[in-house]
Amino acid sequence: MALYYLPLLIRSDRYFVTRLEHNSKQETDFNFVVHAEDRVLTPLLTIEDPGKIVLNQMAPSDRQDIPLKECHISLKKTGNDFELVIKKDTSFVVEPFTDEETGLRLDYSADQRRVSVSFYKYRVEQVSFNLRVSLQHSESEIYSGVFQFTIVRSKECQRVVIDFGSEASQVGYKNCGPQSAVVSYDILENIISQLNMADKTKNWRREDFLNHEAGQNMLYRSFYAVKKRITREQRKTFPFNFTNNIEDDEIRLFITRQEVAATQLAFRDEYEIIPNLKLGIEKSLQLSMGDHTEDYSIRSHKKELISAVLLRLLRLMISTKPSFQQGGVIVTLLVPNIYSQHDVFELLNELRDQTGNLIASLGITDDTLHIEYETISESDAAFMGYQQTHADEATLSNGEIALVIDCGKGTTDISMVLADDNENYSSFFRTGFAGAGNVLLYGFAEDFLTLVLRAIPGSNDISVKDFISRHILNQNLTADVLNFIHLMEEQKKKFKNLQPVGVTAFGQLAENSLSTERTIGNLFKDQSTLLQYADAILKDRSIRWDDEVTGLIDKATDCIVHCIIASIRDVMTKDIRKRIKVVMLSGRAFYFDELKRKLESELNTLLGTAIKVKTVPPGRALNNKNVAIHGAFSGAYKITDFTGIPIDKKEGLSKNNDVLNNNIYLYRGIKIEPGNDILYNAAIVRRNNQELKAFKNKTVDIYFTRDNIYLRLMENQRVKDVRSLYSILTSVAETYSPIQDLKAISMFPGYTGELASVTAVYNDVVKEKQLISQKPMKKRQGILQFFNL
Amino acid sequence: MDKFLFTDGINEVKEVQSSDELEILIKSATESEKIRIWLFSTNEWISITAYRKYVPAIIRKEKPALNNSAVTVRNNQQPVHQKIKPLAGTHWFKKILYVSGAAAGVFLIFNFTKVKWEKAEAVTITATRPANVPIMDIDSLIWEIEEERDQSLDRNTKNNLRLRNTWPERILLQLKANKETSSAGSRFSSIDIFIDNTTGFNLDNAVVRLSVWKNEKISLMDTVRFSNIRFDKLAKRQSEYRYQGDSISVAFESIKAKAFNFCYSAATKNNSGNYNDRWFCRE
Repeated sequence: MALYYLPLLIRSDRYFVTRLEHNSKQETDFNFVVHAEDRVLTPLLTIEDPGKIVLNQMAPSDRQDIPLKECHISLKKTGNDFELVIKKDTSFVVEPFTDEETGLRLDYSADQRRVSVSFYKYRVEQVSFNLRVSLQHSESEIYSGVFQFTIVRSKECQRVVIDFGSEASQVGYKNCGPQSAVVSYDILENIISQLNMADKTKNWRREDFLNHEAGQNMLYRSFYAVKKRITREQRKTFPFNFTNNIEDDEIRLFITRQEVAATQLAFRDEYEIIPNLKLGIEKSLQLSMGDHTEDYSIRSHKKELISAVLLRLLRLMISTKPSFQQGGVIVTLLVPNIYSQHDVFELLNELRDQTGNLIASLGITDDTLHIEYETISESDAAFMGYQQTHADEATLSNGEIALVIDCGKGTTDISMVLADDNENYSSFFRTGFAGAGNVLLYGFAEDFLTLVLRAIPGSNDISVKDFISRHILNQNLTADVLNFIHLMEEQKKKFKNLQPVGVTAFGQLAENSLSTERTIGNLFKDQSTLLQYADAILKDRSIRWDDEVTGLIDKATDCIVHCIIASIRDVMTKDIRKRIKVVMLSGRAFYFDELKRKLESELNTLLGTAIKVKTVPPGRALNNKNVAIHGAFSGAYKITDFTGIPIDKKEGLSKNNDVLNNNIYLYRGIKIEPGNDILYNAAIVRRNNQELKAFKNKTVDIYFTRDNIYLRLMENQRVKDVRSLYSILTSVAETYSPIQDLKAISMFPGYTGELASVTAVYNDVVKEKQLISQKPMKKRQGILQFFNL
Repeated sequence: MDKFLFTDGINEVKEVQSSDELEILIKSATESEKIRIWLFSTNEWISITAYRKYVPAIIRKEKPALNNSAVTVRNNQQPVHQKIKPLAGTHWFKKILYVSGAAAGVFLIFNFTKVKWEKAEAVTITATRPANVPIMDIDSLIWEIEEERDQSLDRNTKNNLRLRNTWPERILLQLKANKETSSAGSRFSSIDIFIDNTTGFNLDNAVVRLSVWKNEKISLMDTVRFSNIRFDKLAKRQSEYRYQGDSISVAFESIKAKAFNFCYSAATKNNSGNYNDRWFCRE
């Protein structure tokens, strides 16, 4: 049986590659919320450029691609629902349709080259219906997909952007009505107000919570806890048992400082704190259900846990904002580049599946509130935010590329964003790895501990690695560990403003109390209190230790820079290097100046000194952290939901004119020349890969869909073979690289395994650099080989 | 940067700003086996023996060797091990050897690189079927179009459709050239390019791309333009240039024929066997 894909533009801001299957299923594939104004024609679904569009056939069968220009398009009303019928014909015909009752119409504009299903009513009222998109080969052979559309009044529709960071999250929202602005939602303040309402005796303050970040009220530090004791009944729908009692919720959105104090064991018995949920840590929870326990892997339930947290954030928002309790909400999630097309698709499906429960738990009826989900890459959103707010600095012409490096705390995301001639942008390369912020933090911690445990005592007797393992990693985020981490964060933040002191002077630093002789120099004598007193001695001082003694901070910075450059080096074909005109650095890790300086220098070596390296200056309303929120609101639609485009390793984009041509690659696919390797993000698929044997000496056609990236082989005008790019990527050998070590380090202090020291990773980096710089010596030939000149 | 931490195992750790200062401290220590040194930008203490392994390298960079002795004196009689330098007396002999070798090399290079061209067998090359024109079963295509439209196509339309989609079998491109070979490779001269048009219609114009290959890469590209190519005789162009490379090939860049509404372009991508009549044009 055949399988067709047709890219559609939803509303006027979201591409959606529709899967048309041969069955008569009734359940919806996806739901969309469309906001409309009275007496304004609002597009629901558009087929752009029908003269060029092809319905791509993606199953091995004798069915072929169908050019839309050979189709007859009509819209039918069946009961309350509609069907967009595409019938194979000899010529292109669009049968106009208008339904006065619902306001739905089908039009074709030859000038704008658009077929649109749109909505027009004198007075807009909220209405929901299913729209089936069908391709009819014959009466019996129909391929279709079903979508639910909800039309709401613009004033009753909200756009919400959730930046679900591994260090800190933030939420912004905006009404879809005219002239509305982006408003930040204070997550922690709303949690506190709910807690204070539930128990008026407790009067919680922001400082009482681990989720509070001093000086940054709109940032909510991502600390969640999962309840370990649940009932068998709750397990069936765990972790989606939503409740109004947020203190007793199975996924707690807050943790108080008191709860992680060493003396508070009750909280640890009941809850497990999960840090770095986004990266999917290798850890299991022991869920206890009466006399029965279950090993619940965080990594394999990452999708459910992330959905559970996101839905709870959304639930908090809906419950605290009456205007969100009816109409429509379009939620845009910022996702890291380490997520594959599969991950994104499954996360969206999980969110959709659980939304009914969420709405019901708030006592809202199904037809009152409708929620649509979409995703955007964090680095793409950062670029769009920068482009929208600093247009004069990041304007690109057709075919030019911006390289975006977003160094956050938990993840580093890298994108290349390609401009077309219509001020739209396609993200064709994405990769991500360890968060630079956490690697730097680990560098600071290891540096300090090496100084205190080895350099100052004058011996190698104490192992820093053992200390980190025993007193930090195995402590499960106690208050001492968290305070120490906070101290290191402060040192990192203020690094350039603090005065360095020599080892002797540093060792003599003591607590600000006359009754103690405890100094940095004798902290090593009682390792169990080292973290606690390090914080007590160094807190609120304006000095720092001499980082040159170990050089670990410098080495950690070098490791990050090396890994960033290594991640993009392969994709830098001559063609792509030529097209890159702007480099944008975003993310809070770049507030560490040394990282920015070193990366800029390496980028200049790689791309030339003429390249402009831009960053958002700190201390403004729009900063390195929230620029992505603004970007996600401001029409980054052409790059939504797609995780990178494979490219020809030799040719780059030079032979793929369709990429430059207003996203036509969504319809026609990408071509890789015979013999050339395929580059997909940071992975290289060699053409001699066993899986590609059938494609030998042939051009590879690669097609994008919402759920997969397909490689298609045609023979004798038939689709002979279709492979998933991801299935081939699994057989691509994974080589060891410092990137993997940095990924583990970036989970510090939540990592449960053994962490490599910065020096070990740095040594590997040096080896890799030597390998790159060692060009193969050309063997002397002829008479010259006798001379050792 | 010569910065160190130093401990003699008894007193406190000291910061040392230079290697000279460090040598004084080493000298003043009573028990040398207890001495530990921390080189800046490392993460552990090393013994004096381990430190000594680093030092010769540092000195060799800073000071040239004065003689060939195995031990040199640095900072007031502190012995430091160094690599033995070869005898200076052998240098003149080596220099003569190099110079005479280079002279012999120049002579030999001149002798061996003097190119002698020898005439080889003339080459005849026929253009291969372009990748963007896959082999198609036109009868089944016509049948399918007729089936879809539910009406039969007229004879002219069928014939034109057939010509447009099977043109590599009806428009032949050939190249003949004289070839000469030498140790430096091959070269081609007296190049004749022929187009044999058997479509039964005149072609308005055609652009032929001539590629010269060297080391499996195109080293040179040239185009030759033909116009008004008749169907009743061979069209021929001669190129006066001489091309040097391993091999030579020809291909159509574009062809236009109003007579059967045909425009071919090599720049158009392969559409993986889609049957739509892609070379149709009406200008």
